[in-house]
Amino acid sequence: MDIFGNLIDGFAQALSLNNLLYCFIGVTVGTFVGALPGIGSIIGITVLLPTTFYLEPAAALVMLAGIYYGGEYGGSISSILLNLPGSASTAITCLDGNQMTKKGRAGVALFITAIASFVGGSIGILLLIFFSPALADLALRFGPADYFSVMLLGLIASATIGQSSPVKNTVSVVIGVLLGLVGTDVNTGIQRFTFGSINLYDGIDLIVLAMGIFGFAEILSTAGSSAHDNVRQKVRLRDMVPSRQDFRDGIGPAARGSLIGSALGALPGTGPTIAAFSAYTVEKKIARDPSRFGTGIIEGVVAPEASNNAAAQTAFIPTLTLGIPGSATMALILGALMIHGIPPGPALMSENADLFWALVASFWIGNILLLVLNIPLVGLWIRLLAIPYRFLFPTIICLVCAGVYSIGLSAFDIFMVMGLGVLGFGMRFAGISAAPMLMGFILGPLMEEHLRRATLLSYGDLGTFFREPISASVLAASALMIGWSLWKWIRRSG
Amino acid sequence: MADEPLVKSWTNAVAGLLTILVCLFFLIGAVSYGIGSIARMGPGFFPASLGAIGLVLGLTILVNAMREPFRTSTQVRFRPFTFILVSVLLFALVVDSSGLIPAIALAGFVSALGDSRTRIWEALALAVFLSGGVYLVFLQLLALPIPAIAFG
Repeated sequence: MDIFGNLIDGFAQALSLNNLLYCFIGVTVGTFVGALPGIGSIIGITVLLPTTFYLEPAAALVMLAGIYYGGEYGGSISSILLNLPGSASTAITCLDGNQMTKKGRAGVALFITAIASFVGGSIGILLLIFFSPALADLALRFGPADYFSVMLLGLIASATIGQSSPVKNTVSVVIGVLLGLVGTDVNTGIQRFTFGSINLYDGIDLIVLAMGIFGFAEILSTAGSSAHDNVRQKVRLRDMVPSRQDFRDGIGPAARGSLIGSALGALPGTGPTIAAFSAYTVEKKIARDPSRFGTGIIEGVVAPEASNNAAAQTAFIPTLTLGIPGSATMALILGALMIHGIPPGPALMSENADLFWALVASFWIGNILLLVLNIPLVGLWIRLLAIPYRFLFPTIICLVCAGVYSIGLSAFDIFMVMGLGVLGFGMRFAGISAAPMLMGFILGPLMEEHLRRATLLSYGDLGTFFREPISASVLAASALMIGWSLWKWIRRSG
Repeated sequence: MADEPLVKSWTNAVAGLLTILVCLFFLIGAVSYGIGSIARMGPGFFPASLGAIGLVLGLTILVNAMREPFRTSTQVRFRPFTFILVSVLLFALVVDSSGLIPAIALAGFVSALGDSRTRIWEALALAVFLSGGVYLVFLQLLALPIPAIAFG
């Protein structure tokens, strides 16, 4: 069937009252957690994941995805108003966004940010629509060796791209993979690392792990600080309308930002955060007068916001077509698919075509809802931002407890969350980021599966990884990435 | 601030050491499950390789502990840390025997007191609000098969 026919079917599904409701819940929660400094979409998705068990898969995915891209919209609110990034990907928006607030142009900044986000998101969705079928066709030709190599590239990218030490990030990946292997080995039925505990026979639950290393660890390290206490701001709708000049200044950066974001979002390891930074840097480089950046100009807000929203949408391309997540949040979405009994991979587009197209259609509906939530209703979020953090963190603790308990009605899971939370806190303290760990946890067991299959098929010849063209080129890219980060690391610490 | 570099390298060293211990544990366990051959990998092959990689990385961190630039994204705050751990522990101990609502109320109350600025009555009000919210969302809306209040 052609793309447009599929898309129309998708809209028909996504516009059903049920899916529309969950899309609305998703983007609302996303805007809220995005706007709260320190709490990002990843915690929102984790906490709400257990509540989706009893939903239809489409409704569940529509809601969880909505939290993700909704978070990109919400994050800019606190960046602009409070100079506190609501999420990492909107940190760069603080520079010019908060300067605009200081100049009394907060309303304009919020308005134009919402528009830029919508433009970026829409361009990302278009690319998702047009590239996914082709990529899924290509991926149907993937053999086990190709899968192994592509997943390896994903893990290496998650460890080497980014700010913290590549060695520590790789440790995070390795521990994640090892934790992912706990439980019954599917090939032999042997119990691995279960200490004979029946609670671990099925492995560590994805939600338990994510709640521990993200939700619980986050609360452990932020509770009691006063950094999150916010000041009140007032924005009236009539102050929000940008001038014609503002629009003219914003068009170029929005277009360039969307393209940069779309490209970086689809690549493994680079997500909305790097996309936003890159778009800002590019704008500054090509500007006639770079010194104006940081003084509160439209270009400095529009470019990163278009970019991170485009990236948030194209991140779904590898996740949905290859079954390979490019970031920790996408790994969670992939986990949600598996929880709902949908095997991720290239077959998803053919076997669960209606789910795929309903999801894509819901992205657009969600972006339109977000436009409404972020322009006429922005005052609501500003008021919610005034809730002190000391009331929010006990709320999250209770949601984590109730959510984890609801998975298996077992207190054992709660103890696991505590243990993993303390581990996550310790990792944070040692400067080890937790996101690569989640990637390893999800991809590790799949990689083992493909590795065993590939070597079985080649009678133990590891050369198969270098002879298959897809696998070979992906491995070459991984080697380049390792070489580059080693060089950087040696230069910095040597 | 004079002792800062010492703390930093210590944290790095401890991180390296813990990595080594954890990976050693997995490595030894994996070997005992059977490595197999490359053509027929045993259940231990993959975890053993990863354990070995992790071991090398842990050693690298340990050796570089003094040189590696140290970044931490957090600090330890003892009061909230303890209160939150205790609150979750209480939840786990109470929920099976007394039901979801008392457990949530207890966890909400105790964790709220983790912030020294929160007064007792504020924590009480929050606990009531949270138990009501959890009751509505988890037991009414999602209809989870958990007793709201149990005796025994």
